[in-house]
Amino acid sequence: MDNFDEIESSFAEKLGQMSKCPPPEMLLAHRQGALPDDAGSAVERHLKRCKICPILLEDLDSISPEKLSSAEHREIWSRIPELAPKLSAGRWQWYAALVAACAVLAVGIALLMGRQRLVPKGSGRSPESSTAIASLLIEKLAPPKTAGSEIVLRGDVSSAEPTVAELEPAFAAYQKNDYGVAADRFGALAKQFPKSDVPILYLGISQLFLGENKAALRSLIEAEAIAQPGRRDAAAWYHAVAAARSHAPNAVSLLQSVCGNPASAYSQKACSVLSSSGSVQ
Amino acid sequence: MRTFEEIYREHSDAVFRIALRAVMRREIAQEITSEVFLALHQNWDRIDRSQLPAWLFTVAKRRAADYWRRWYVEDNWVSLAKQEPQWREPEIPLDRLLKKCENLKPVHRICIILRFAHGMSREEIAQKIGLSELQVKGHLQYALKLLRETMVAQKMQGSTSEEMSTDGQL
Repeated sequence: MDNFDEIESSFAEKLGQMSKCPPPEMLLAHRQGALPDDAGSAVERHLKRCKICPILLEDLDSISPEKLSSAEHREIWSRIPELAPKLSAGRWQWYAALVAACAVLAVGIALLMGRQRLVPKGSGRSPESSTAIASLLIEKLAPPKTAGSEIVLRGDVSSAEPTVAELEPAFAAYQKNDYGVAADRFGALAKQFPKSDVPILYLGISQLFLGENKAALRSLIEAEAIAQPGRRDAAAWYHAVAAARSHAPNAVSLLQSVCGNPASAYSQKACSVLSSSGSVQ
Repeated sequence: MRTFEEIYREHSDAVFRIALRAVMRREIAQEITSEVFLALHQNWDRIDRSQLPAWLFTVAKRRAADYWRRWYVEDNWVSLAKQEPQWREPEIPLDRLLKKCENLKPVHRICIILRFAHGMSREEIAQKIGLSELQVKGHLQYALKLLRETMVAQKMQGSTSEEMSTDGQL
C-alpha cells in the first residue's frame, strides 16, 4: 500500500458508510428516459433523497463523450454486410462534391420558385399536402455571432441575458449535433433567463431535431414572442416548422405569414413549402 | 435525395453519443449504433427521411431501453437498494464539501464520487469515463489535495468547521 492508498483509506473512513447509489450509467439512462418503468421510478426516488447523485449526474452530463474512432466506424459498418465494401476514404471526396452540386441545384430551384408570385390560399388542402408540410426538413440555425453586440454581455447578475461564456457549453453540444445535451443546457438557461430569446429559441430548435415536436412548438411560440429584432424572422420560421411538424391547425397560416414577409430570409423557403404542398395557387 | 452513407456520416456520432450516455459502455454504445443504422438500412424504403435524425435517436433510445431491461433482469439494482441499511449521515458531508471546493472541475468530482460514494476502484473509474488508471489517480490526488485545503480553510474560519470535519485532516 503506497502513501496515496493510505490517504484514500483515511478519507473513505471519514465518509463512512454511504447510501447504496445506482450505477452512474443508470443515472444517465434515467435522464435519457431509457430505463424500464420500475427502475426509472426507483432511480427517481433515489435522486430525491441522495445529495451526491444529482451532483454526479450534472457532472457526467457536462462531459461530452468522444466521437467514434475510425476503427469503430469500420466495426459498425462491417455489421451492415450489404454496405461493408462501400466505406472508403476516397469515396467521401466524391460524395462531398455531389452534395455541393445538389446544394447549388437546390438553391437555384429555390430562387426560380421565389421569382414566381405565390399567392397563399388557406383552405382546401388535401391530406397529401398536410403530410408534405408536416415532413418539411429542419435546417440548422447557426449560433448567433459573438462578434459585435448580438449577444449581450451581461454586466451584472441581475441582467436578463446570459453571457457568451454561459451559452458556450450549450452551443458546443448544439454544434456537435448532440441535441439531447444541448436541449438540457438551453432549457436550464431558458429557466434562468426567461426574458432572453437565445436559449429558448435554440432549445426549440434542438427539440425539433430530437423529434420532440410538441415541446418544440411550446418553446418556439415563447421564443417568437420575446425574439429580438435580429432573430425575429428565424423564430417565426422555426415556430412555423414546429407547428407543421406537430400538425397544428395554424401551421399553414404561420407558413403563409413567413412567405408573405419578403424581408424575411425564410420567405422563399416558406413559399416553396406551401407551393409543393399545394397550399398556394 | 441523400444516400445512406451520407446520413450515416452526418448522424452516426450523434447516435453514438446518445447511446453512450444511455449505457455508458463504449462497446455497447457501438453495438446500439450498429443496430440503429442496420434498422435504417432495413427500413430504407419505408422511412420518411424528413423524420431523420429524430427517428435514429428514438431507435437508439429504444435499443438502450432493451439493454437496460436485460441488465435489469440480470443485476437488479432496485432489489439491492431495498436491502440497503438505513441512511446515516457521514462524518464528512461529501456533498457540501464538494460544493464548497470551487476549484474542482467536473472530472475531479466524478472521480471522487465514483471512488468514495460508489466504491469503485481506480481501474473501474477509468473504464467508466474513458481515461487511463494513471489519469484517474492524478485527478483523485489533485481533488483530495483541494478538498483537504478547503477543509482546513473551513476549520480556520471556524463557522462551518462542525459541518465539514472534526480535524481538517484526511
